[in-house]
Amino acid sequence: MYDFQYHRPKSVADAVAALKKAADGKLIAGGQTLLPTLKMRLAQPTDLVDLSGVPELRGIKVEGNAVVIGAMAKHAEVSASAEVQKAIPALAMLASEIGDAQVRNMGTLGGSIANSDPAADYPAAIVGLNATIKTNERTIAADDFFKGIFTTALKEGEVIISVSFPVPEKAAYMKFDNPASRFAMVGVFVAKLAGGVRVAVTGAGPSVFRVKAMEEALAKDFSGKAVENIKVPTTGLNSDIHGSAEYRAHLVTVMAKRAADAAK
Amino acid sequence: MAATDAKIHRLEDARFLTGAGRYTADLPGKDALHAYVLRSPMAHAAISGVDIAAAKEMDGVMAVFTGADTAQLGPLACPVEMTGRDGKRYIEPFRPALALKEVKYVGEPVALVVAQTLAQARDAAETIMVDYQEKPVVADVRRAAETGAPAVWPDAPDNRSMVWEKGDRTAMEAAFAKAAHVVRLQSHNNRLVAAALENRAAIAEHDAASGITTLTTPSQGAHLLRDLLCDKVFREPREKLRVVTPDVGGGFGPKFYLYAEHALLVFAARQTGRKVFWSADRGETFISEAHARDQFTTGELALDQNGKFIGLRLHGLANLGAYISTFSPSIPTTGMAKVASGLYAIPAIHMEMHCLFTNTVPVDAYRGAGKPETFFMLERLVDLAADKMGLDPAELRRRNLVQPQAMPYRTALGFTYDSGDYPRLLEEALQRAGHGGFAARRKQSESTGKRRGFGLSCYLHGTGGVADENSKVELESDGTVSVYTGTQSSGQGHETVYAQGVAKLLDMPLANIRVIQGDTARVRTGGGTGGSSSTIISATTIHQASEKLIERLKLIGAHLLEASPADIVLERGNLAIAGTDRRLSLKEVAIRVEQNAVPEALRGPLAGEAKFADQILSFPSGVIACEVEVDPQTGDTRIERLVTMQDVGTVVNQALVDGQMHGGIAQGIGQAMVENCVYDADSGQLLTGSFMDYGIPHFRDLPAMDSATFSTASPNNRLGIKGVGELGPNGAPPAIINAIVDALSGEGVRHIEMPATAARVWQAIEDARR
Repeated sequence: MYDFQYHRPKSVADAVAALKKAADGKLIAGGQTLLPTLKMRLAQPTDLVDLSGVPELRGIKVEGNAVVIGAMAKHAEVSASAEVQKAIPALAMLASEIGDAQVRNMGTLGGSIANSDPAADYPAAIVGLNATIKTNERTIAADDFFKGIFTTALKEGEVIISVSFPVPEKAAYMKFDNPASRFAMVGVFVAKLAGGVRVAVTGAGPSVFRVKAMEEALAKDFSGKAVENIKVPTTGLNSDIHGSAEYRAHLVTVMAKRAADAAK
Repeated sequence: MAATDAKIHRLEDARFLTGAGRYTADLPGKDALHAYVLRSPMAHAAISGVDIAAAKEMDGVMAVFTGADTAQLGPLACPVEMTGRDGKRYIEPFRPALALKEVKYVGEPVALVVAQTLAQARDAAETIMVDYQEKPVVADVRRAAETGAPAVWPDAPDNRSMVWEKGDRTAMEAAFAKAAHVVRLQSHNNRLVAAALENRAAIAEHDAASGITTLTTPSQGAHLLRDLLCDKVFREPREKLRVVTPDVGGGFGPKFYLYAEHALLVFAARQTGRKVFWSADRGETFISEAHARDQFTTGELALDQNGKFIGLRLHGLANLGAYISTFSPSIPTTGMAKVASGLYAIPAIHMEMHCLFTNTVPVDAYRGAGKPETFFMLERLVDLAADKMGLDPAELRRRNLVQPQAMPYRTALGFTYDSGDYPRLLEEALQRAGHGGFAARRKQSESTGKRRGFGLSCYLHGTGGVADENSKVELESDGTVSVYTGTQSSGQGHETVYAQGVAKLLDMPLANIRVIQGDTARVRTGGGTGGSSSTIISATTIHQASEKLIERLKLIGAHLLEASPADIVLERGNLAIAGTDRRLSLKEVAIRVEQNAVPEALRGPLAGEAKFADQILSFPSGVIACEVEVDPQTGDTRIERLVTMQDVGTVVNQALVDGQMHGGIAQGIGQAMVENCVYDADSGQLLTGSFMDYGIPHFRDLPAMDSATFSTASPNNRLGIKGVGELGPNGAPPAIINAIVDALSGEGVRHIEMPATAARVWQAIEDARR
């Protein structure tokens, strides 16, 4: 990797200040994407601002009818959290299936969603549960957060503080692995919330997306049967050496059906 | 634990499992310079200039070398001697250590930067300006074979290095003319990378006083590298180079070969007068280490009205990559021909193999080396024939197996199977796999919406390799024994297996025996390890050497104990007069000899030496039965059962036989289900350049394996050993694919190409429904 200045601030304010001073600064959370990118010399930031020393970004707590998870909460912490397991078991399960044990012990919620990898798991939960992302500047609704492949609504100098997940009546996440990377070839998060039903898909497209036809069908009849014949269009879906757009579109239906049947 | 216990745990395990293994990358020390290889980003291009002026001025840079600097070196040459059907040697283009005027694949070395740190070397490499003029690319083996395809080498017409034939074409054609049934399959045997845990690495250090350079590198045989480097590349006496191989983290074939980096590190150490270290990272391994398989073959099997196989025809296009690698011409040719008859009596066989150049990384032997390609085709053809005739695949195989009384059996291609009981292999495998209960299990799967299939594979291996073995067994003055051998462990457990034989003969504890390998200065000759033959080569030769040592010890014992040599026995580390309590420990014996307490004729090193004096060839055999469950909704396929029954001749260590089967089958599962090395056909860029895109089996993909062994001793060597290393990858892929196709036969699926990923399985179902 190329040389860079390393900062380990103790507060969000200091982190933002360090970022603003840098010519080309980058935040580093768990580093599970950024570190390999640096090692392969595919990025050359002048400064790395490490968020691991910022206490206000940590913690998992239940606030009213929501679970609020700090941006620096590790996947392993979310999956092992009694609060998350009790309130949103589908979210704990999703976190437990990200990457491998090493990734789960380093990777963070905030890092994952800020990176917006098209095959990451967390975006499905964010959109599927209609979560709210709190930053140092504002709050962002789930539907406004992910803008495309590796692109989000975050502005320069904006730091994710926490994510608030409404507790659903029931929910489930079903993932079908890519045979090589074991990222999601297709992952579908299905949730029945006070405000309605949501179906969010990761892996299949350039970024997480909702399937409105399935949401409407599930709102009438929350069962796998209700969605098993609903097909998603292949236009715009990912197609690569691992699977065609047709295959991914087909998997969306199968995973949605299984998620609806498994939801609790 | 007794030295003869067949399930002894490995002497190496404590070292390997506690992080005490010493691999090449552990050894350079702080004083070594770091080398970085600048590689071609183009699959095919002419080079009109390489500007290194800026690189030479960079911080910490000690030297920058290009093809102009290494132009006086000889080629990375192939030692295999064989001819095509035109009687001429295969075409071997000059393979330079650094590209001269053109590059032929992505990853080909173009320059070497040597600096004080790796980061400095990489920084400097990024400033090197190479002027490339792109040329037309051919990466796909079928395209390379077509008339009018881009030419990789002007001297190789139609991109052929060689067209090779074997067998009686007339007899084969006559068999097909009278056949009652013929089945035909065209299949691409997927391209693979070996993906050993340890990446390749090298350290070179030149000693100006002695004029000797030492190259430390993982290998599968230090002597082959030394010989090729001295004879072909540096054209100097072999004494000028010492090659040392420490612990090796997986070989599987690709660590056997001579690579540019070996030559470049020796060259750089001599030029700079400093110790130089290089290690590939994983991405470099993908684009620089030999790839495997990648063969497009048409197979046809002819049967009579009773289902007897009467003829087999194999016509293949084998991808050799851009250059000839160390053993590559022998893989899609003799490597396949040895086993083309499988476990069956097939009276007429003919092979025609086209060995082709493409703009890809050179392809060479990887665990199996031609046999997995053969068995995938043969065993798929057998299942297709059973399907066509409406016969149980097990029954069709039963009708065609070579019978035990026919042993030794000479195949239609002229190879002689040494021994075996193939019907017993098949029946015991079927029984252990619970073949009788399959129908009920299938029904059970179907009740949950799944599909279940049963697949068989009958297969064998023809052991091979290089038996340039001269073993030495020496009693040291501390009473321990050193065993010198020229084969090379890359994790298999040679230290244990070879010590076991010595411990048994000398009746001494295993812990007092140390195996010394991988050093051309300490081991006189060696053929290295490849071809599932190391135990055949080393154990038999060490056995002879041990007998010679024992003979010598008995003469000394007779003198010291004042008895007749015939009355002297070796007993628990002592020389004793049989039936008495008169004894001397081996340590005392060694001391007495050292003190010259024996007559002159008995003085000198307490060693026995021997040359390999057996046959390297044997045919270990096996049957694999596999049961899969397929989710037709997603194509997801789980291996539910996998039974492997094998005959590996005399078993030296059952735990190691089972371990070889487990690991080999895991690699076979990899080829069958997830592994696929893919190039972009137009640009020649590698699309699977990391584990993000190149799938390898994970622990959870592997079934509990039931491995069972029986032995019919090989008559070809004194210990009856047959070898085991390559059985798993030879036999597992067709058993798995046969099981998947069986599971989906109701959906109309007749064949699935490897790797049978979920996407491919789903697509096969979709295509069959249309």
